[in-house]
Amino acid sequence: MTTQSVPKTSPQVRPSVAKPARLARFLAGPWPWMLPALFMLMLFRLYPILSQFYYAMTDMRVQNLQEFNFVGLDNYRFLLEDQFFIDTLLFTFFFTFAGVLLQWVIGFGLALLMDQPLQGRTFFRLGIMASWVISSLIVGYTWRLMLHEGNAGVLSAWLMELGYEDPVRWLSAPDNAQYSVIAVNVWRSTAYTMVFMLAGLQTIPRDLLEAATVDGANLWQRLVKIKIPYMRQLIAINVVFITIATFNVYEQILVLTRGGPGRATETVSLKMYETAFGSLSSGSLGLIGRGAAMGNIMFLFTLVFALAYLWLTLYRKGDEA
Amino acid sequence: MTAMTSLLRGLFYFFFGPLLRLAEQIINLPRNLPRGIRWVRNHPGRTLWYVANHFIALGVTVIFVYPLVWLLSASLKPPFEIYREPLRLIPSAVQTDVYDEILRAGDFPTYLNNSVLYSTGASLLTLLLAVLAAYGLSRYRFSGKRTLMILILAMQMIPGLVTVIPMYILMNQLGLYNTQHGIILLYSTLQIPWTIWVMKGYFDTIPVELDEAALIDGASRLRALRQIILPLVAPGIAASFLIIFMARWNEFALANALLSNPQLHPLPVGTFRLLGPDEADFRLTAAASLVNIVPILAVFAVLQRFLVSGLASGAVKG
Repeated sequence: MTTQSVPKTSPQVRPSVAKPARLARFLAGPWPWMLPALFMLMLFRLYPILSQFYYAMTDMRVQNLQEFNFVGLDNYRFLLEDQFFIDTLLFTFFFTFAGVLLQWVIGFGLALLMDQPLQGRTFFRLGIMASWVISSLIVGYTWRLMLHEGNAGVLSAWLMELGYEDPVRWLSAPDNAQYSVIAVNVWRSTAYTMVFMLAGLQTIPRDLLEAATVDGANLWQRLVKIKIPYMRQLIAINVVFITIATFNVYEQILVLTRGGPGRATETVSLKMYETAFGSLSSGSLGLIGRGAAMGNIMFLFTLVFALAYLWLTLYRKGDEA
Repeated sequence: MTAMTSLLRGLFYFFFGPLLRLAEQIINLPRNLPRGIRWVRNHPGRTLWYVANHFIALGVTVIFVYPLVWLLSASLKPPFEIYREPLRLIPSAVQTDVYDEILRAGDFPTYLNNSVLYSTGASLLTLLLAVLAAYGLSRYRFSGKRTLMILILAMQMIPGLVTVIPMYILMNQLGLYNTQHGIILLYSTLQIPWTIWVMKGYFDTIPVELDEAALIDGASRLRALRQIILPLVAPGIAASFLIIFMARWNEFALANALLSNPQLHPLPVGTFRLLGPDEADFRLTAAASLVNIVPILAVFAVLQRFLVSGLASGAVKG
């Protein structure tokens, strides 16, 4: 929607005259508005994504970024032959699957609850959302205190009150630690699904639900026959979002268990960070190249879901047209 | 508080509804009873549902709020009470010495300053870049626009953590490693795609005629945007600001990798360096956590009313 129309330059006009006209047309177009943002996105978002594929094929170390050798696919080969990494990958999938399932079921349930006539709905909604507002690092610290296995642990104290004899090893037994980190992540992220789904539920036309009620549809039928089909698309998008977020969880696990005991709760993100940057105590070698290979594995997993999301939005656009 | 009073009201109707009905028959109460009581009398099943919902909502809210309340309590308790009476929420005596330790002696004031600087700077820069781009995308028609929108959206789907390693190398190459402007520049790019989408959604709801009127009156497009369009999309700006600010305030992984100078650490990194990944002092952990979350909860409390509309429009349009 350019406001000034530029007269077409005839072939006799010298190019030096035509140039400013083209520049003027460019300046009056959409690109000057978008260029700053696009430049920043390309430099800080797109270029890292692309360059990571190159770094993953080198033996670069964090101590010296200038000197490195090209090693081809060695980093990937090493990772796929490493049983520890396969275990980490499997736990990450388990963590993601269980986390997404619980987040969605609980989050959708809460959204349905919040969609009912409730006095003080804002109070409930904000209370639940507090867990989502604070940082995952602090969520990790909070639950590390809550799950303390000594006398000070609140959850153990509650169980003692209920007559439970032995203190539960929330974080020091491998199985329990896995369930604990999943539960903490669900506690932290469920509010997002609730808000997202609540926004969707409130777009359902009230007439539709009332008509169904008049026709004798009960609560369950209204849920399964109207609400869920109506929000199918939104549900799919939400599941994609929370899958990506859960797959990339880092801070909570770092603080809660640091991947332990042993490697029971180590996710790919933890291992990537540790391999590349490490902490002094862990004697990390700062293997940036190998870390980049893990980053690419995470990227490809994320990309699958990102493409699924794009497909969903495009499909929706097509639906509407 | 309204929640509590309403809950009590609901409970009252539920339990005393039948009694009132009986009393009505016995002493011949006037016909025009309060509407609520009559409704409860006529719909016992729905009343039960209504009351039960309040109980469930209250229980769930407690699960989500209790850890934070307990955190506050633990940070104020005398040390011995943490181990002897972990369930006690109201401390027998209030001790604020850990807060003194954190806020006076340590580097926490610096961290707090840095966090405010990074979050605010990055949020404003994100908004500036994204609003301009969104305006261009909303007001011009050009070939490849849809593809561009989709590519922008795709970029938002990739979390920053996935590319922390190449970002570290890039920042070193650009000489931005360990600098405040470097982290602000990088931070400002993380939420640009999402903000573009949300703000384009808002701009699309504003009629083009408004711009055109301003242009005819001789204003430049930039001036039309600033003086006429922006005030109309203020709720969207507020919602976007809240989301970006929250994300930046809480960011840890990138800052931890890109800032090694303790004087430049934002709060989460400073907290992590103070407490470490292993056992730390209970009250110190609780107090440091609270210093992290109180500012963001305050910002959230002020701006949250814009969030529902903002998130909903972003999500539903998504």
